[in-house]
Amino acid sequence: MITNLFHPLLALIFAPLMRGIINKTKAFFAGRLGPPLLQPYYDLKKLLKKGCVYSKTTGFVFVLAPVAGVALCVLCLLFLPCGNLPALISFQGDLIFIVYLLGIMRFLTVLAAMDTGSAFEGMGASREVAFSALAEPTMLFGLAALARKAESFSLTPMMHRITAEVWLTDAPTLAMVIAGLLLVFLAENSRIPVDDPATHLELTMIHEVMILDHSGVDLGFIEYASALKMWILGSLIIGLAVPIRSGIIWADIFSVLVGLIALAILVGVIESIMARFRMRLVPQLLIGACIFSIIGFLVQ
Amino acid sequence: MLDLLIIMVVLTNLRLLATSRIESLISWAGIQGMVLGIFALLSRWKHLEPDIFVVGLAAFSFKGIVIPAMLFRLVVAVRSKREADPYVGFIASNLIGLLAFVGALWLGHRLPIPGNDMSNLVLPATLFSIFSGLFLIISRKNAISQVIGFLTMENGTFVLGVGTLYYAPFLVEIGALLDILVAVLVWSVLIRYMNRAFHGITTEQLTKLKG
Repeated sequence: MITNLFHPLLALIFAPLMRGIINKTKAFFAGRLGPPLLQPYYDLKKLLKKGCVYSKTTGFVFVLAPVAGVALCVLCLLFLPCGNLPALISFQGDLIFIVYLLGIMRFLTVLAAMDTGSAFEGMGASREVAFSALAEPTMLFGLAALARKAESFSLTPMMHRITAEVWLTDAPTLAMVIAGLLLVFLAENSRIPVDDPATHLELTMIHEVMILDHSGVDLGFIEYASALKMWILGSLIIGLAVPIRSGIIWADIFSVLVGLIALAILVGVIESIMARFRMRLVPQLLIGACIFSIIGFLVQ
Repeated sequence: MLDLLIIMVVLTNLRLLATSRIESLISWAGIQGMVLGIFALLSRWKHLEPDIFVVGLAAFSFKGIVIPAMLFRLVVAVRSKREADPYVGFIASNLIGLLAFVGALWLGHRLPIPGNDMSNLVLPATLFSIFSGLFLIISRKNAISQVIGFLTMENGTFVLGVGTLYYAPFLVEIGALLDILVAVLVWSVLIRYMNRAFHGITTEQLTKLKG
């Protein structure tokens, strides 16, 4: 039972670190020193100390969304295994449950954005919903492909069965699913080439637009929830891409951590060598991701 | 490994259906040719006979390097950069391609080839390549896109040929490679003439030819 707690605890502690690593990698490519590795933690600490400012037009949804975001992410982590680290709770169909927990989180963020009454945030919400409508099928098809491979609708047994031998026999399926999930990872976490987390230029923002009115503790919660979301989607990818199932708990934890650090470095490299796509091209990218996972689903 | 290469052929086909730039079409067709060459070499790596080695190497160099180079020179000569407005849009083409792949998989499982010890993806990939090639030919207006469509179709039959190379004679494969080399040569001459006569290479203008 105690081992089941390892993955959620790791996520809660190390999730913001992934952002730090991405920023450090980008700084390295740009020839800068960059912010300290632990800067996301300092930011969270700073934000949690501050008070919140609420506009008069906002109602209870605006206050609810950040808290609910963190709560839903933590809930999601309870159902999420990574590699050989089992989930705390698992049942048949939990993979669909996780996708919809993330969906509820997005729904609340969108409602909070609409609640501010700002046309600008409404536009961001519209973009976010349009793009995630395209990203969701990719994720579901990818997970369905894995469910078909592992003959289980529950993530924990599924991750147990995806071992190095499966990679030898079914590399195409796994590679296609990972490619699809990686693109979803970039889109859902609003990274380049879909969205640029560093910009605050009105015309190009997707996710950042929606949280412009949040401040203080609320903003801190949103930042923490998005770090957790990055960990959640990342650990799905790493569970597939790093097929180390040693059974020795420390080796498994180590492989998961190294995998996620490598993923963060990969994202940093992608952000350094690519430009953000024009908004018009984003649906094409996401349809491409969907095609990857559908092919992974079909080719078995 | 071989399955991954076949999937790469399928993905390059989808990429060809999704792109509008002629340069990108040619490069991806070239990449597909290189993948096919590597596929031919790796498919019998353990008992690599000289004839298979020659087929693989010839495919890699002709399909991957020579023909794309010829087409690139043609693009420079006729100054055609883009597929301006195709009959079927790019996202729609991709979705149709995906449906076609589903169909090809279904058909491939229903038509087992006797003696095909390679992979059960060979036949679907073949059918899908032939379909994408035909689809490129009927849905694009630019003459160079149509040449690429023909090359894609030929690449499909090459997958099948290599997939069953124990039984297909070596001369047929080499003959087909030389044939498409000559075909591309003839096309590049024709397209240059077409460009001179019509000041463009959209195939719509060919209807004006009727006397």
